[in-house]
Amino acid sequence: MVILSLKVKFEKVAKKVSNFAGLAGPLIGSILPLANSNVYFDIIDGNGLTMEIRNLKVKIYDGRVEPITLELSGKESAFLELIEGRSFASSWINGAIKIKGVKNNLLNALVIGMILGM
Amino acid sequence: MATLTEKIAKYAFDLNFNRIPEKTLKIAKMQLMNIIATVFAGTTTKPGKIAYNAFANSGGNLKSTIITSKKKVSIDKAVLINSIYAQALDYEDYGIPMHCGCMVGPVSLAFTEAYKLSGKDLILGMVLGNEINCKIGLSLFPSVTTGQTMDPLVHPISAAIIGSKLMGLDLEKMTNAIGIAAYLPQYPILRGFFGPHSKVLTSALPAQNGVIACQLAANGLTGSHNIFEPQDGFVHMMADMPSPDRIEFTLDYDLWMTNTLSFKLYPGCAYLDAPLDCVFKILSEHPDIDTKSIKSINVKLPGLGTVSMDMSDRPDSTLEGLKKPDASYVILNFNVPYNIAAALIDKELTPRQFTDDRIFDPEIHNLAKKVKIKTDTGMTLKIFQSFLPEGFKLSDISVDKVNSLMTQALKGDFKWEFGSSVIIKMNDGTKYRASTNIAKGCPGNLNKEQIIKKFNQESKYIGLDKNKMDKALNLIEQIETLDTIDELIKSITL
Repeated sequence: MVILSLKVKFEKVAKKVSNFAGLAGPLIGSILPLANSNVYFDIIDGNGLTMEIRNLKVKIYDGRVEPITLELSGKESAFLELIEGRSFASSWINGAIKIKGVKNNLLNALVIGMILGM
Repeated sequence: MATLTEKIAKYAFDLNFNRIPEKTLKIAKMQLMNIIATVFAGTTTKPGKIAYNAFANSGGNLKSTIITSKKKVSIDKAVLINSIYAQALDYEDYGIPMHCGCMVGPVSLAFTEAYKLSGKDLILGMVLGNEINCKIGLSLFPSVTTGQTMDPLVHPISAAIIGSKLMGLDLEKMTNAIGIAAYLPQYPILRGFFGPHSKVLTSALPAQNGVIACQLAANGLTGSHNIFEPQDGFVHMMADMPSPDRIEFTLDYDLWMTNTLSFKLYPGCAYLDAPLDCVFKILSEHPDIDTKSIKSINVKLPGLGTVSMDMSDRPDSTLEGLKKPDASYVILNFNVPYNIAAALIDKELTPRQFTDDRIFDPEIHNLAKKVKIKTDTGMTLKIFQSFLPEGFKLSDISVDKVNSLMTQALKGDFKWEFGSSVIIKMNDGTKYRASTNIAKGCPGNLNKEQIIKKFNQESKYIGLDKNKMDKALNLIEQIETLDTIDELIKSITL
């Protein structure tokens, strides 16, 4: 039940990502790492979700959908906090959410996190 | 075909004072005025005093002055100490996409003084440094290291180029200096940036390395002449989304990145400027706000601001956290709630608000807890709009034209639209609000009077004699007529 709720919340967030990207157009697509990516939310005490971004349109899938370009890992509560307004950067520096391969993926994670928090 | 390294060297080698347009010259003078004021403030900080004590008697070839003292040290040590002063309060200037004055000021001053060069040479060094910083910086943008944390990657290169230019090195030696400096960029580790004193070295150590690079090149050491664009080169190794072609796009004498400079009128990170303008606008209209009766303070910022600010959302920024042995006022330079609360209580936001007396005041921290920050989508999109020519909409452009449109926008009347809004709610239901699209001191809302006011404020703060203050301002105004900068250096000495 809680997982379903989280998925529904992520689907609402997906609309935000689509809207933001749609407003900003190709500039965002070209200078930010948003245009084509699969973001995997590894929910360590629940079932993972994948956010697929293609041509600035966003869908949410259960489980892991390859190829994953960015993987974020944390407890369900940490992702809920994120959707409810806690900043991604704050969650990351305080260890609530981890980024796989930090150095190369931090920029992608911060951009996704910024939009999730809007 | 020439490599980017060779093209950058040629660009720098051929640049001369007469090529600098009037508008850019005016901004460079403001930058000089601003950086000296910022250095004044930095001399009063704990890290500034530590740097002075560590190196004031370090010996060597005593050629360049540690600002406000009568002490001369070697060029590299003067650059190190003066750059630490310049960045100690995060109070300097920034261009697109990185900080500039904290390096170009100290490096150009040190070489100009050491080699008995003119006021024109000083300005040439500063403008050249800004151009190289921003033009190389754009090839790394966007990256996690955007902004001040890009300084350690690029400042060694720009410092080496300024030094090579002012030492009069030939083209081959200048190319070597670039290759040496770009070989060892310094990558900043965020843990050391947000909190401890170590952050004040962000530009200073890289700038010192740039000085050493050009001194070695002058004596025959070689560096790669193809260090930027290859897959194993600087841009690909340092950027998250490498764009070496942007260096080529921007490397002409019709595009002056110096014109993108924003000057900080308050200590602290750039995203504090717009909300603080809003707070002072509210205070100017309602000077008697009782801070004890404030219920909440809501701040809206562009996403770029909130992401950066949230990086400082660490225990070290709390009253208790600040007592940790490795914590310092530095973290508060990135903390929106602290700065807004301090501004409301003290009715000013100056270097004083970062002394122990103020940073440990529980009243400020209690009010800071009432500050809530939210990302504003419209303001976020406005920032991207800054990089397009007038009249273009974000949705109208195509990916393959991004670089040329960005160049066109930067060549035009560039405005840095980093806005904010602030609403203060009182316990009795009264609301005070203010908003701004462009912060004071930024392109689109910049004037010399703002910088003169800051210069006078910081001169007074360190106890500089009024005659010297006026003389320094006058000398900066006519800097291009000075045969040497000796009088300027004397006028900024206590």
